[in-house]
Amino acid sequence: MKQFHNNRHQGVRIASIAVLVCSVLLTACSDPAYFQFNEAYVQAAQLKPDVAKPQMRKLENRDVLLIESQKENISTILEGAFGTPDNPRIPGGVGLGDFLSMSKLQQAAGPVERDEAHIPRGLYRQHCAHCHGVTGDGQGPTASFLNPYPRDYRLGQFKFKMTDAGGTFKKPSKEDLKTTLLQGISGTAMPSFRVLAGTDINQMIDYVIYLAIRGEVERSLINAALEITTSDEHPLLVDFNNGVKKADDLAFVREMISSVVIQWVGPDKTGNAQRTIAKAPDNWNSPASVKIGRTLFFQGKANCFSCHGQTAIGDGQKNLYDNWTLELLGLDPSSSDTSAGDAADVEDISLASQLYFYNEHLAGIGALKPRAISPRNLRLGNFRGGRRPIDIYQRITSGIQGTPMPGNTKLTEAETWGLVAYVLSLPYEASSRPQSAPTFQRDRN
Amino acid sequence: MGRFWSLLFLLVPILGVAVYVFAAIPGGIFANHWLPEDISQHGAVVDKLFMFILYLTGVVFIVTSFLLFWFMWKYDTDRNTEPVKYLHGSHTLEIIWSIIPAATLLFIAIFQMDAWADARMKYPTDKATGFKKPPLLLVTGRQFEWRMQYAGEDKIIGTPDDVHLVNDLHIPVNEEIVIRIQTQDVLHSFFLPNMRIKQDVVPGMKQHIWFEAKKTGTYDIVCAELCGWGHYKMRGRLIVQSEDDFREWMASAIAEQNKTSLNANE
Repeated sequence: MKQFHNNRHQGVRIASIAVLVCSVLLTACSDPAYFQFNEAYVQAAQLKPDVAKPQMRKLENRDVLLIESQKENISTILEGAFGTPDNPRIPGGVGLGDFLSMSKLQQAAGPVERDEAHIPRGLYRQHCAHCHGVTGDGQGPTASFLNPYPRDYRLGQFKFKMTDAGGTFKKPSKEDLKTTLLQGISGTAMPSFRVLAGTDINQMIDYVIYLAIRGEVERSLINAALEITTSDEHPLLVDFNNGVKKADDLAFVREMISSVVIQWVGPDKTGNAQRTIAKAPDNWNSPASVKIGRTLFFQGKANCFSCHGQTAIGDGQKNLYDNWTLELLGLDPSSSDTSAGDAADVEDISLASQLYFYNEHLAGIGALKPRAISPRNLRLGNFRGGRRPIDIYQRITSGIQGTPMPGNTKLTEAETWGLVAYVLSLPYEASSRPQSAPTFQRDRN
Repeated sequence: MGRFWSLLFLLVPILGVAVYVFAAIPGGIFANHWLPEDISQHGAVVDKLFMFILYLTGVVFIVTSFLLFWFMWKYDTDRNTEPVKYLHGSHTLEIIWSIIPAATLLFIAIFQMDAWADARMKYPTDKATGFKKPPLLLVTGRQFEWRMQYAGEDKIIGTPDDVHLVNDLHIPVNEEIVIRIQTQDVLHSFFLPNMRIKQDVVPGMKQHIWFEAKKTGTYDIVCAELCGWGHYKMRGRLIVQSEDDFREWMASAIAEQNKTSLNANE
């Protein structure tokens, strides 16, 4: 009996020690968060472009390689300019002061908690990071379960915005990002954050822009590091250990950041303005207008059917890739940066050989497996960039950055609005209705 | 140790009751953890039933917990040296403790029948026309958001004039509202805590809920069925407005959805 009692006491003691050890371990495990180095881009950028096909990067052309100390230098420069996930910094002297607010960044950054005034902090990590990642690389813990994958901000390209016009892409305005946060992106895993306070939304917008700028600067630094040699005038990028911090290095980095920032802040330093869309003609959604749109849908001038399919269910061309994926396949999206649509023109790629690049160099460092982008099924009534007529108008005229969806500047106003009306009528049209337009007339121009 | 364990078990009913008493004190530290404010016409019936069942099970809880304590206390090994006696059981007792709960359950089933019929069976009719009231909107649950599709001016859901919104439900006050609910993917549960409405949304099932709000304000919409990793973020906003405000809001939502110009002088 005595023995039994002793054993029981020992059990209680062991249990309490276990509880103590576990709680100590749990507290010790909270390392400070850090920004992940863009290793995937290093792998992609190390490939030299193929001379014959500039949009393709040849796998065998790997001659310039980034050395470890250069990567460390890039991380150090980035930390100096942008800080850490817990202590973000706005780089000075690059024109960001009026555009991003330090107090907003600080509220959005850091671990999830509430300050003395019970105001939430760490909003980005609470609401965004599990998909978009602490670094904004679109590789959060839940990312691999999603289709489409969450956006990787570091490319600095955004899909749904009202700033693009006349065939050129611009950075989104804060208003555009706000629309995305409030509406979500229907048909994807991006939810609506409408129930959050407006101040919270504004803080997250600033933080997303901050991450995008940081990511793009990181890419520029990697490019610069790949281009210079030891005899170059910027030892900061060559060898951190014996490089003396020279004034021109600082100027060099600052100029690099400025060139990214200027695209965001625009000439008046307050951000890009949304474009103007003149009011649609009164009869834009009349049956006659829908008919114009319907005809155009199947003609070379608009050429919608070649991707969206004969019945607009998105079954046209299904072997295309967005810019984020092209990079993972060892292809260069930047060569098609200005003219949307050409990004798609990689028909002769053998996917198997390009997947080889991913498997060899990227799978091991956690990059998400490349997937083809499917053209939208227009009959579902899900319009990712919004369902207002001006949203559809904007998608048709300006395209969707980073995707094979081109902006069409050849259409007249009446034709564009006809297409808008037809696209908006598609969810309500029976897909079995025989097509009157000529089929398989694929004149590409 | 001895009777230590029986005393420990006595803490269960004591703490359990204490939590309920604390929660029920108006303005106390747990004030907001009890039932949320009821703004619905039918909510009082639901709350009454809830409280009735709570008191009933509360009494049973206290009695059974105290008995558990009492037996542990009385038959503690250190104080009982007699050998264990075999007991076949009591037929009479078994009949009693089967019949009492069965009768209680039957009573509750009959007692709540009206409330159930009002909430789930008596589909509202339009007083003016005598026909079934058409749904004001369709709510579609989707991982992880609630999508609202208002019937628009033609009062038919699924036509081009429908108004589409996400996580944003506006309704007029003092008017019986019918909502059709469905899901696009998995099981969800459409829960309006302040409206005392909670309905599982089952894939492939077309369901209707109806209620009448008696107070304006902004309230929560939540998902009450674990539907995936993002279940917690499936939150929406219920805005109850006066009839005029609602009409005004609806007009502005329609105008916004039909917007055909941007930053342009009309």
